[in-house]
Amino acid sequence: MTIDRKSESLSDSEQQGYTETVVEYVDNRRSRMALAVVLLLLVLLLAAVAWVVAGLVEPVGAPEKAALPDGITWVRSLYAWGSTADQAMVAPVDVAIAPDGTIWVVTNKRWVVGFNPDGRVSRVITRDLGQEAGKFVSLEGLAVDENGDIYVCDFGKNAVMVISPEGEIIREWGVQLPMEIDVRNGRVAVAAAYGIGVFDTEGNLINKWSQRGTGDDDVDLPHGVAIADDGTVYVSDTQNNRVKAYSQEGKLLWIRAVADRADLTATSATQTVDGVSQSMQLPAGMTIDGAGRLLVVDPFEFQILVLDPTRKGQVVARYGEYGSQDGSFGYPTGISYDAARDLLAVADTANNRVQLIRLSGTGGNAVSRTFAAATDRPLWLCGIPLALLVAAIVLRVARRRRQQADAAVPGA
Amino acid sequence: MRENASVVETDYDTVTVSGGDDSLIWWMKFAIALLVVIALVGIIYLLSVGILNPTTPRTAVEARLVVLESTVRTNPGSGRAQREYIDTLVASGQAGAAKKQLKLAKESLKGVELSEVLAAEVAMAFADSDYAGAAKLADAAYKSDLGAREAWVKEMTGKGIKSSVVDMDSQAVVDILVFGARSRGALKDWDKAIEGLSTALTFSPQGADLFVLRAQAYAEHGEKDKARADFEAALKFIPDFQPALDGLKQLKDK
Repeated sequence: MTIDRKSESLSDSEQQGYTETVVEYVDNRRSRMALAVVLLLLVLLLAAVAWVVAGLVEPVGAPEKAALPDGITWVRSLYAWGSTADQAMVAPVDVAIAPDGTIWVVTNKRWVVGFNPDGRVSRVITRDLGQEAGKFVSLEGLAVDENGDIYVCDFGKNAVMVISPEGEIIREWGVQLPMEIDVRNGRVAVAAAYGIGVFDTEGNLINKWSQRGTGDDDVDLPHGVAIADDGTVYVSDTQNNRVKAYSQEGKLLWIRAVADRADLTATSATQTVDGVSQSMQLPAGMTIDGAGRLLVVDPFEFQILVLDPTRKGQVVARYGEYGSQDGSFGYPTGISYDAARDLLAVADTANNRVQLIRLSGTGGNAVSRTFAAATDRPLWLCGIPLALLVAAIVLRVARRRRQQADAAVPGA
Repeated sequence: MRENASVVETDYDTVTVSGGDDSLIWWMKFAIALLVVIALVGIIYLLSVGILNPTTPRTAVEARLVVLESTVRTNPGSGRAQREYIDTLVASGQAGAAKKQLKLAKESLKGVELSEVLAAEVAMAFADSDYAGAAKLADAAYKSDLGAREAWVKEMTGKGIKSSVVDMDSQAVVDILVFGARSRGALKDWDKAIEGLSTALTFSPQGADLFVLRAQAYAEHGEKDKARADFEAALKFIPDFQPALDGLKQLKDK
């Protein structure tokens, strides 16, 4: 500040005006200083909090993008539903994603655990061991219907059980040695050790086909089943090393098999088509992605195989490699796709975890992902302070305009 | 109110008041309000995604840490569990937490159990390229381990059981001696490196990797015959041991 004056030579009114100006200036300067300090402290505080939060958000040991197998985007892994040793997953066999995003996992044979997409545990369901109604023996595959009800195969109890998301058993019906299950549009397809059955959601049998064997119409320990929107039933005929498609009525549509099953009407597994190996060893869990492709996990290939149903199951892409690090697979057996979140959950059985990943070409998009992420959580609460800020700005602008209008009126 | 009056003029003189702009104050207030809003939004977001709540492991490393943390909590007297936990913390980039755990473990462990965490400490110093420090720590750790072994032998002898210092589990002391020797090697002190590896071989006389390490030290020291003998000794225990075969080839090429 430069004040160059001869205040002693001013008149009283001039002196008063001068004094007011200087006082106003000094007040302003103090205000500016105080505000600058507050601003600086706030910036430092926010930076410190952001640094701490960044450390919490970034998982320890998250795989580097470059270290991941080609085409796989790792999101996170699920290892446990608690912090004690007996709450760690052991050999999760199957996984299914509910419409609300809950990822249901069958693990440790008698546990059905639900996780939110961000990995928090939402519900844990288990029952005593026993053949009686309402008890579990040895759970295998599971699926979730449009209402969020969970359908579980109890291989050891020869039953399919329907469980509410709250964990209550709604109904159960008998199926001999059920291994895998899928639910869509009111139909329940069950792949059992000795054949395929289609039921309504009440458990009434609609259709059944196949028996145990190696013929075209036979199956042998099928460990994967998926129903398409058009009603086609896809089956992983696991022990016969092949994937098959059936019409709603059970008519065989096509078979995709390995080379040493060349007597079947199938393409050789050792063949490479369009640059992609058709190799298939033990196809297991399967799901249908947003682009209508069939995704099949093969525990012996340690990969997710992408089959094109419009080309009789030709393998059009394959992702993954063996390993225990996040992003790799150790004998995966189950898979499920969440179209809303464009998220794949893979039961990575030998690694005792479920991995959440994304693949290219699954038909998802960033807009639906963002919307789903926002609606999964009460993020609308974040709008409250933002709305308050906007309201404060509007009020401030209105006040200034009113002051300017008042100043423009003579005598005001 | 004066909106933009940085200069006030009188009839007699000029009073210059620089920077007296109200709009600046308004903008500063706005910036503070904005930062407060950002902070509020951030806090609400973090609470809604549950980041401040305990969560389950997200990666293989986190899962391993949870298991090891639980093991250490339930069995704090296990030097091996403590060491594994410390090693995993280091491998996951949490050096600060590793040092803290190391300090706690050193305070609570005794005898050969302590040797396990001392081995982790030597390995940490070696990994930090603090070779002189690692060598010094290795010497102290070996001394501590030997003291514990001798006390155990004395106790056994008192019970009428004939024992030797090499009868106890020796993995930790071998690791201490190896890291000490490698540190000495990095400092070009080959005599001490060879001495350390020779001691390690008394605890693990069939350690093919130890023979290879000592052979390499001999080779660096210019003792080709001893180096060759050690490479060949390693091959007796593991016939196709590649490092030994490579070492012999290099000796031949020289």
